[in-house]
Amino acid sequence: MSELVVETQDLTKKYGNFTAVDGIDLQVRKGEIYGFLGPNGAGKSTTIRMLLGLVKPTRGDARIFGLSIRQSPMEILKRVGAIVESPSYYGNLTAVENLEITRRILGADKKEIDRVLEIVNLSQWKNKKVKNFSLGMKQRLAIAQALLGNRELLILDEPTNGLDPAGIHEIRQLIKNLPGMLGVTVLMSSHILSEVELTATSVGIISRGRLLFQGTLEELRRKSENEICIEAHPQDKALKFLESKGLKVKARGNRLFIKKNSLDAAALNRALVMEGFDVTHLSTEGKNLEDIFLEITGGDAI
Amino acid sequence: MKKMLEVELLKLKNSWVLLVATLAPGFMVFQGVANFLRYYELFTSRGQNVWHQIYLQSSIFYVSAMLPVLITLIMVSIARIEYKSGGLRYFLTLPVKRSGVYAAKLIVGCMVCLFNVLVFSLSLLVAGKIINAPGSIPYDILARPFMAYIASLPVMIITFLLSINISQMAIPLGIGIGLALPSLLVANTRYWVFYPWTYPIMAALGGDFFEKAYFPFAAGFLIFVLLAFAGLRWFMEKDILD
Repeated sequence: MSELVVETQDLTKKYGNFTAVDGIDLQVRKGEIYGFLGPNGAGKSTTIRMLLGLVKPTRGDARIFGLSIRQSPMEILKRVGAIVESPSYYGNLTAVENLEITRRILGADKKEIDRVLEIVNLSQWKNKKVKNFSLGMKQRLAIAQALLGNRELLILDEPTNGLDPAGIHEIRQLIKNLPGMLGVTVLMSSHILSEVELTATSVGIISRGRLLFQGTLEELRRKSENEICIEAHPQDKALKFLESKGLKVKARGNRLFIKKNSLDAAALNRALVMEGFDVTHLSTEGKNLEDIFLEITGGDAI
Repeated sequence: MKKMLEVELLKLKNSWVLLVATLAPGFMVFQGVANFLRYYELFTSRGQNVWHQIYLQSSIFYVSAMLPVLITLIMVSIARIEYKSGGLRYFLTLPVKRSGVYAAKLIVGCMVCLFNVLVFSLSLLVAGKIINAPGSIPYDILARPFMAYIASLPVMIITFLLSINISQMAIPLGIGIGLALPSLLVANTRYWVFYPWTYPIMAALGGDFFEKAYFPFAAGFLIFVLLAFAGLRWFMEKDILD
């Protein structure tokens, strides 16, 4: 098991009676792109703000690089680049001046500014005031700020929010290449399932402040085990018959559903027919990630 | 700290606030001198010192209205650049101490206010020279704006705290300007001690005839220190949600 870059224990934030984040245990491993997925208002931003020390946790702790954000925020933040609720900038300054603020605080080399501008493809607009930038350019500048000074962890809150399709594609591509190109670990939040599916290697699903699933994308897909769907008559007897064979059967409408696991659909069909049932429909159904997501979050739309 | 101050100054680049802080006091002196020249006979009929007269004409509106309004504008715009497009929530994810950010912003705000007062004094000198005011320059007319500045410390810290803690700029702007307007009236009552907006008026124009001449400075300094520390504690604990 590789080294944990981000690890939270029982991280909780309450605003009065409202629990925005409820005992979250995040685990982000080195070198991965961790997609932090959840519907709007699920607690993603609050969690990210707690990781960055912008919001004080009510309970629990967040450890980044093994250090506690409560005790050593300066040591941690030196090594973390962040975008919090896109995009943040000083509009009266140019791209270079915005980066200069970051550079001075970090004490990084002057050359860093050109390097990160090159990565996000903003070099030709570097002396333009940022308030005149398009949203996509502002977002690229935000990523440049986060990359400046060879940071080891990037925390990106909704990095593609509000961008047009071309911009979304561009930013996703950029994020996807980061771990390979620069060796950074990325924690990105999103409310778009397909985005996480396309960019992330690991997923955490949060809904109403609770972390409902955490694992690799592969593990999430494995949850989409197929079901066998059967229409057999008479249905109640068929149900009893299948249950007597030790199968877990769920009846929905006029159909029976059985978890496929290693079951052979043909053998099942044969057994039913031999027993004298009329099988009028038999199919295997796979769930897509959308279905799994809805199942995990209990129907909260994304 | 030097780095933090440099960064705060850099953030102010291209901001209109520096321009306003430079031009407004000059304009006040210009209209003060214009008024003096218009009623030249009246203002000098009893052999009054011309320097003192242009000081008086320029500073009445400057310390009672212009200075507190400018302080509000300066403090609001220093906070505004942080809230307008999420600068603060980004800046605080950099390895900076919140206490350092707070102190640097407060110091820069107070320095811009001081700069504004210095421009006022300098404008007085230049104006006096231009109209060929007779006699040597009485240096108290240069010291008094500075004393008004010290007496404005409570106004500075109050508007600073309102601006830095409220992301909608209309609220600190409205409160700051709203409280500045009646100050000349309140200054003429004995309740002025409870109204910090009158302190610069007392310091600049009070003369020898009012008691407790020390009061605006002592109270002003005390209020500034107490509020500055209370505000710092608050800012350090504050959840950044904007």
